[in-house]
Order: sequence, then structure tokens, then C-alpha cells
Amino acid sequence: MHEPDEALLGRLRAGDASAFEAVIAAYQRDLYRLAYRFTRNMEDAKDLAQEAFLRAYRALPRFDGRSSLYTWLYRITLNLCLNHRRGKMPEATKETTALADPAPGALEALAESERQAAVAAAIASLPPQQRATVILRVQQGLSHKAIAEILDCSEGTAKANFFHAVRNLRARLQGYGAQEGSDAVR
Amino acid sequence: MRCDEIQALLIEVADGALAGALPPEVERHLADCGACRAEAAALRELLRTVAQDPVPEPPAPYWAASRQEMARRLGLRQRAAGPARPLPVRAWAWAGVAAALLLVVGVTLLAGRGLFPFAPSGPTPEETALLRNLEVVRDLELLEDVDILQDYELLRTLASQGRAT
Repeated sequence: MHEPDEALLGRLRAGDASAFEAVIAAYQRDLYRLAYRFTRNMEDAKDLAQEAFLRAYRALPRFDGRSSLYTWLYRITLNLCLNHRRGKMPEATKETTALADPAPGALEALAESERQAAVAAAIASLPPQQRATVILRVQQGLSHKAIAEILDCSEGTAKANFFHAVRNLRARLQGYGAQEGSDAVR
Repeated sequence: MRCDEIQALLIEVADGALAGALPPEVERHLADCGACRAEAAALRELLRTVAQDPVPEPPAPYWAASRQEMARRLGLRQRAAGPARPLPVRAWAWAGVAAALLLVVGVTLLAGRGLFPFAPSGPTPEETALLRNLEVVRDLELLEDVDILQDYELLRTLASQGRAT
């Protein structure tokens, strides 16, 4: 449980330099995870999360408080992620380890691993706004309202993005999971 | 309600946005239509898989090290210094030597008025008078000391005589 954003903002505005360290402590894991979802690379994700904090600190005097602190931090990170090696596809899942492992459950692990790789690739292939929406909503657990703040759009647009993103993922992931029956709709 | 009408709601259902608040006609349709039930299950499974996509965490010490690195780069530590750490013993020793040296140099310089060339070179009349008075006091103390010694010698003599008798 970290200090509430309002309290942190109050300390920042009062010139308490230690408050920004508290901001970092509160959000560094979230921003790292967000960056990892985009880059699929731990080192890149660490660098991007750090860069997001550095930029946020320098931009603090311009932060007007209309959005919440965490949606502002997410927005900075998201912009960095979207501009980071634009078009780079996620790394392929390492299959060799699972194939060489004869332990019980290896085949199931391989199937799960393949499925996760397929999901990651499908998400990476979405248009940027849809990709961001799926990551923020499903993987980071944010509300549509918060996503709208981060993407600087209306809540309705955020919901529409999510709807199209899931439809696209559904279409790209035919064959993974319990996905029979959609052709039989009336 | 038709399947295509239900389809638009199934994503919201799978997302949990409509959890516990499904309109009765949607529930009736899902109860009757296997295809829509399967689609709803597929969407739930899809979102579950997306949500469970693992993120490898850096080793635990990374987070604190990263915070320190950022604080250093932003210059936060200088301005938000915590309580001062006690100096190690060797540092205290060196600090003592340095202080003593400073004191010696300072006293020497002050005595020679080297640091204050604008100050008068000799004692003022008031200082001279004060010094004279101090000499008188010191002489009086010496006299008192002599008296005490004389008294002491007298007492010793009397005591030795008393012991002899």
C-alpha cells in the first residue's frame, strides 16, 4: 500500500524532493510491467520505465493535475513504448527448452507457452490504440475511464477500441482455446 | 433477442463489465443458444489467457538500486538528505587533528595580529591597567599561599611536640 497520489502531489508541490522517490517506489513495478508488455524484453522495459520517471520529473512543473498522477505516468510510459523501436515484433518463445524437457507436464507447458506466444504476437499486431487498450484493460487492470485519460480520448472511444481489439484478437487466435461455435450464430 | 445482438454484448460480458447485471433477455438467450454460450466461453478464455501473459520480474534488489540510480540522476539525494551518518572513528581522529591545527594556527595568527592588520599593535590603556591589577591579585594570592604554608608548618611543629609529650 503506497501513499495516496494526492498526498504525494502535495509534497511534490511543497518542494519535498523525497516525495518523488516515493512516487518511483509506488509505480516503478507497474511502469516496468507496462513497458514489458510492449517490448517483451526485460532490459528494454527497465530502461523505458526509468526514462518515464526521468521525463515525468522534468515535466512536473507542467503537470496541471487534471489527470491523476498514475494515469499521467502511464501516459508518459505508453508514449515511450509506442515510439520504442516501432514495429519490432515480440521475441519468439523459446521452444527448445520445453521440447528437450521430458518431465511430466512438459507437453502441457509447451502448449501453454505456445499459446502465450501466439497471444503476445496477436496483441503486438494490433493497431497502437487497440493494443494499448487491451494491455491497459486486461493486463494492467485499469478502468475504461482511466484508459480514456491515458489515451486522451472519451470513455466511449476507449470502450470501442477495446471492443475492436478483442474482436481482432478473437479472429487472429482461432484455434487457441475453447473457440468453437461462433460460425453457428443465428 | 437475436445472436448478432447478443454478440455485441458478449465482449462486455467476458470483460466483466456486465457481471451480475445481465439483462434477463440475454440470460434467456444464452440459456437457449449453445453457439452464443460457446462464443461467450471462448471470449472469457481469450481474455483469461491475455490477462495471464507472464511478465518476468527483475531480481528483487533491482527495484531499490533503480530508485537510487534515478534519485542520483535527478539529484534528489543531495536535496533530500536524511539524518547525517556518524563519522567513522578514523575520520573523527583526523577531524580532531585538523581542529587542533586550526586552533594553533589561529591562536598564533591572532597573537601576532596577523589576521587583523587593522587592529592596534599594543595594549590599550585599559588593558594595561587591567594587567596591572591582575599582577596585584596574583601577588596577593602568593602571599596567602605563604601564610597558609607558614600555618601548616606551625601546626606540624605543635603536633609533633604533642605526640612527644
